[in-house]
Amino acid sequence: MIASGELSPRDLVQVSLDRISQLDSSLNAFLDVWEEESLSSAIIAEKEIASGRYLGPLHGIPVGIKDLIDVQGTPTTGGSKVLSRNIAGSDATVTAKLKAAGAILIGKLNLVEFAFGTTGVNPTTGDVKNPWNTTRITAGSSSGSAAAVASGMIPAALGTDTGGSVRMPAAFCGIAGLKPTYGRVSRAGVLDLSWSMDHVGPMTRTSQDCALMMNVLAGHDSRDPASSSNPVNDFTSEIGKGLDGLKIGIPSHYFFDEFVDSEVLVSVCSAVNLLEANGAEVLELSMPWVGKGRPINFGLLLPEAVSIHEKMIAEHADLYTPAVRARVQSGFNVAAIDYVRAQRARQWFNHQMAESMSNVDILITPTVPIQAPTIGECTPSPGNPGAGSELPMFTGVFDVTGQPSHSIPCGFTAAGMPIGMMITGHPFDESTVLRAGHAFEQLTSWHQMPPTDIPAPN
Amino acid sequence: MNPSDNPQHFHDRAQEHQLVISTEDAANIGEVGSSVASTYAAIREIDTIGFEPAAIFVPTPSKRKGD
Repeated sequence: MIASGELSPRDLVQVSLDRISQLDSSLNAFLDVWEEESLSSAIIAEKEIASGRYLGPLHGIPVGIKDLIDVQGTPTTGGSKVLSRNIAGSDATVTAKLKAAGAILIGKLNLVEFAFGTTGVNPTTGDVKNPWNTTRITAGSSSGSAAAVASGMIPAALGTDTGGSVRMPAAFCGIAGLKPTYGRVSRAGVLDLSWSMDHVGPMTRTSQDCALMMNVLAGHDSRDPASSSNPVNDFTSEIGKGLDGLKIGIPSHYFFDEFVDSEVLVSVCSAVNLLEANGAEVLELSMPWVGKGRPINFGLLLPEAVSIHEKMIAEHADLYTPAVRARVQSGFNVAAIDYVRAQRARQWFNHQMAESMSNVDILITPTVPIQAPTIGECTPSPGNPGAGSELPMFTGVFDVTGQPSHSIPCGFTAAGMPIGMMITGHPFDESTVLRAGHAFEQLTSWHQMPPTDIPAPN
Repeated sequence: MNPSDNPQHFHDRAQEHQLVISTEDAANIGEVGSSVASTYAAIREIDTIGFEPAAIFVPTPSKRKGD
């Protein structure tokens, strides 16, 4: 509609700004909103499009940026007092790519301090509220990104994912979130949490929109030492191919065990049945080793995070929130041999995963094993680390392997909270993951449901 | 030394690294410490012989610029 002139970028940005003005005082998704700048950019986009210089599907589209990612001339705080005066000297590569594609950057999004946590609780910047029930967590760490997209403030946002921080909040807020293959999207200009597992990914309403974002974000970047040179194709080219010929693996261990919430299990199993009834082939996979994935994920993350924070915490320990300070400081106790063991275990784990998936295209699992807890249950207090340690049990597995992994809505709990289904593919095969997600979205309407605990748009 | 959930131990290690640490912090770290300990205990159970991450130490081919 923007390309044809039926919808003006200026109107679209104004709708976003109005929605932010209407809702953000209760949801707390944004740390900073760039009203003047985004309207100015929208006017420029409008003129460009009117003069025939249409840059593509993101031209004139408002996008929010997690405040872990640099936008030149603006603060990148990581949601922490430690970096309150940290002004980005240049754009992150992903920021520059979005600008070059004509996207309108509308502001910085709230997060867990330094992305080092899973709930969305942040005493420094304030907790982000779930638009489906504002007493419940969004999950994190890309909490503001998920809440802003789910509530209709913006159509797309960037998140980051080291243990599940794109997919967990996507699941709890009822939106689509893609963690691409490790190395597929540049991390240059993004604050590190764990360099061997940090990913940047899109958070949107649909798989199709994730694919459009990936067309802009993906590609080699010499500024990121882990950036892949693998060729990048059009992520939308196969998205409409449907389910015929698609082989889905269902792990018979861990992801569907008794500890998983029964309503989550019912929704995900129903989704798999629907995919099978519409042309996909479903195979059960024996993966008795897969429960080791999350310990390996945390076992790698912690020493790397401590290494990154060592100097800052020595100088500014008093500025960290107690929970994150405790997480960082606990890592000083990790023995070198344990980190080496975790690295070897990762190699072993990746080998097992590749073997198990050799006869299927994708895995389908729940994204999160539990329903969204309340913010109160997840707020740490002295001697109580707070609930939520179960949240990354499933997502963290695929940060270890670096595979593309995508969460989409597949149902609701009896309490009316969204449930997420995770679709995970072979490395660098985001296209098949997005194709499966899109096919499911064509068969269902979960992704079209509006959140119930916020007012409808004016 | 293996990770433990002993707050005193964390307190001592923090002091070695010249970190500011309160009694409350030590208690919080103790809570985190038990999950840290169980994490590495789970990893230690894996037989990883032969799974060294070669990509870290295998050299990447390179040449002098202009060759």
